[in-house]
Amino acid sequence: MWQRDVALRPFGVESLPLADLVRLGEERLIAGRVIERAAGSSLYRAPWRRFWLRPRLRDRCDLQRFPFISETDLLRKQSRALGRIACAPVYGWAATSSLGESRKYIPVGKRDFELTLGLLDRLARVVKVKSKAVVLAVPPLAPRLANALPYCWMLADMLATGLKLEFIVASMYMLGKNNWPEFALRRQPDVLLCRPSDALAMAEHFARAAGQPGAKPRDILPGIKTGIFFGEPLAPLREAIHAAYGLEPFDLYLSAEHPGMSVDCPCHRGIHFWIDTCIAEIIPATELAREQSEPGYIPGASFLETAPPGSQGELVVTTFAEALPLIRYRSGDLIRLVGCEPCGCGLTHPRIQVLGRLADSKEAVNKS
Amino acid sequence: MGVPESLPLPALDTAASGPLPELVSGCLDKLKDSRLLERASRSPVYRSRWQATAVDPARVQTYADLATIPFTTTGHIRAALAETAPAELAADADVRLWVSTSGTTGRPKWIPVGEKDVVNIIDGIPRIMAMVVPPVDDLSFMSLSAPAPFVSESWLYFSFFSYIQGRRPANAALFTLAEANAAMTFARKAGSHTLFAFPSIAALIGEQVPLQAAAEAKKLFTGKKNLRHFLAMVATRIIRVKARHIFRFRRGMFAGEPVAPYAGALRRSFNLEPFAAYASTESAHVAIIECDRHQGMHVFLDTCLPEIIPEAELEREKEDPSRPPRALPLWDAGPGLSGELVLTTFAEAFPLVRFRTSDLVRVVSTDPCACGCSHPRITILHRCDDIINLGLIRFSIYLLKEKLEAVSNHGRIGQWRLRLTREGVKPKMLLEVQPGSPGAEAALRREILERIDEIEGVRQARENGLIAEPEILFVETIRAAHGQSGKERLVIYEPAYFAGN
Repeated sequence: MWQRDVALRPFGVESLPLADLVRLGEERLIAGRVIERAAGSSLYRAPWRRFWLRPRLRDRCDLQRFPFISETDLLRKQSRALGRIACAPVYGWAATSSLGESRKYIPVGKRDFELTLGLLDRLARVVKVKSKAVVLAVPPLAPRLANALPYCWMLADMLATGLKLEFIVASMYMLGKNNWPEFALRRQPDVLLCRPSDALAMAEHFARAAGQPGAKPRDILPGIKTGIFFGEPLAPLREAIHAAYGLEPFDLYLSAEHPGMSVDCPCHRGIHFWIDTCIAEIIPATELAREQSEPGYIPGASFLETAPPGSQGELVVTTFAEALPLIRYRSGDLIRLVGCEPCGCGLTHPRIQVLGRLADSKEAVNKS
Repeated sequence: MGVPESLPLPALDTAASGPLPELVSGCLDKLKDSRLLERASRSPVYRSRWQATAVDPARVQTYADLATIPFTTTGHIRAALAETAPAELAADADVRLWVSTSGTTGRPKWIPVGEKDVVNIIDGIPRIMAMVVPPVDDLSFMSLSAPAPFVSESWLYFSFFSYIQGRRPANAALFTLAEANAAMTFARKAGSHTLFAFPSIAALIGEQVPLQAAAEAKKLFTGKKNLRHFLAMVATRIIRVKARHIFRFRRGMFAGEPVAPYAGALRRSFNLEPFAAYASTESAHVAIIECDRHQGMHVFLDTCLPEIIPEAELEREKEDPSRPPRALPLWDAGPGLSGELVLTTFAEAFPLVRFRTSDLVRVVSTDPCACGCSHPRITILHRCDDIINLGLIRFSIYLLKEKLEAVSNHGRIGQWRLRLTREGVKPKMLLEVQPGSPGAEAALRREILERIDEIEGVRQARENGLIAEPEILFVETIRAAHGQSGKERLVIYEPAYFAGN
């Protein structure tokens, strides 16, 4: 069926020394002509022209000459002809979870899709999903990127991982309108893939389907030993989910703009941020505060792995995507760098904790 | 940007355009080579019934041999699914996915999809699309489907995978019905050319566009008063804005309900060419699709072995349920013959063997089509079981019976008959009622409508504008309407139901 294996190269890239990873990222940025390709997108034309920037890079540090872009830029550019933001043939579109006018659509190229499959193959290996596991996936509705997760994971497994995973795909929307909780009880899944708050919300439906009001999922779905959660910070609900399901929760960081699928490992000491798929920077909290108090101030950022452990700030990514490389994209996500030293699991990619949306924390600051 | 990487869609291959006898021979070869019957004989759906009737799968070599195997009905499948642990249902296969039926005929059924089934669907999609999209046209598509766990969502992802596999940039965007407005906003911005949807939903959107356009223009002008917004507002008052003015759909691929009643309205509002496809959860990998000549849907004989139980046989079965009806292979059926579609599929995880679909179809032709495809053509009429079919909304006649028998506050109902027709393109229930006891007509009418509204799907469809308001017609006597078996028919599909507007 498919012509090629989609596993990510080089093999063992998850455990390369940090310096090698940084070098690999730089190589992909320069040799992949990311900036040159991005110049073909309407997203960058005006801002780069304003700064008299030539789309060429000498090295990774040179990247920091380029201005940040944000979701506001994306929204402005997509308000009319959507296709113009792409700089390569578009196979599909992924949407962010926001609704209405603030929803962003990201073009997906062939290589972007294959990267997604490769990352899902990596996810299965990092989380150590067992062979022939049954995955109960309850993603949000299409067109959100997360909706595609189970189907893409199935394909990734067929092409690369070979665990022969079996999927039950359901939706919160159909809860109460379809008997999927009852079927899940009959099939007894091993892995749960959903948003953390949805996991808690569906617990009572499992109990009702089992005819045991008040029963906990851990009693009626004892096979679920692994939970993979995305879409919102897991930390605040980690304990509640563990208490309800008795499973090992894994935190998956996923955004439609940057579908990097970074995940925490069995050591659970932060999410391993895959820096072989992008260049990551952080705008420290002090810079963010200054930006807020001094309109027009352009904050400084440092490369993620050079920031001191414990630093908090906004995550900025430069992706190597095919259809739309994001150049210094301010993700709007507030993160904390947990550490860059090799993890007990053997992975070497920096570890972060996603604290939430920056807009929410700004609102909280303003309110206080 | 262009599409330098894209490959043209394949032209119809020999598997589609060979002479019918070759296609039939290929179909029968596949029946043997795929070892379908041996696999099926180990499935709980067939095992005990086949053992009871001494079916020997190894001896099935011809169609005549296959015809000795008993039919399988939804009832058999439902019973097997209820009695069997899901893990044992397709023990021989690499199950990759479970999909659910809508449950209109009872509890939703959960059907396993095997790895080979997924591969077959993905590999088969270019041929389906070749029937719909001219080779030179762009493939951009937007879909509006039911969410998981329904099969349509997975099928659309498989289409997307197929495009990627074939290096055909499709600008694909998948939306669920719950986000129809967002989908249409996207389609406008992206300029999608192909729409995948349920025809009634698309028709409803087409109907609402003029109203929404006027409201939107007014909102824009109220929000920001400038000349452009003013002119837009005035324009929507003078010109009736249609979907064709906003969207660039050139074609629509529609499934889930018959397309014919909606075809005219879809053409008028969207200026698109509608294509009908037949799809069911149990047979998602079977290709039954209309070509650009629009003279019936081609049933691809390399994806299934289709049979038809003629209407006369169905009537005889009603008279004497103990006598199994006789079927004939679709390729031997004459044009115009109506009957129930029976499918044998080549699926890995959940093979159907002589499955009675309960869909009444008419044979259009078994001659080669002008499009070059020689697979036989059919058209779908309606359900031939006890299910009342209001397009996307289906419910049991017994449920309606129960609701009507419960009418008691303002008189009772003596006899009744339901006529299914259309108001514009929308399915409409016209209930003829012969009052059983005297009572206030207006109050009785109200009560009947309230009872009908208790059927959840009907209420929702009515409120969302998917079906017309039901109408109650009081008559002195219900004129007899019998089928060939002499049994009284409680539900009649009027010609307008099939024609639409």
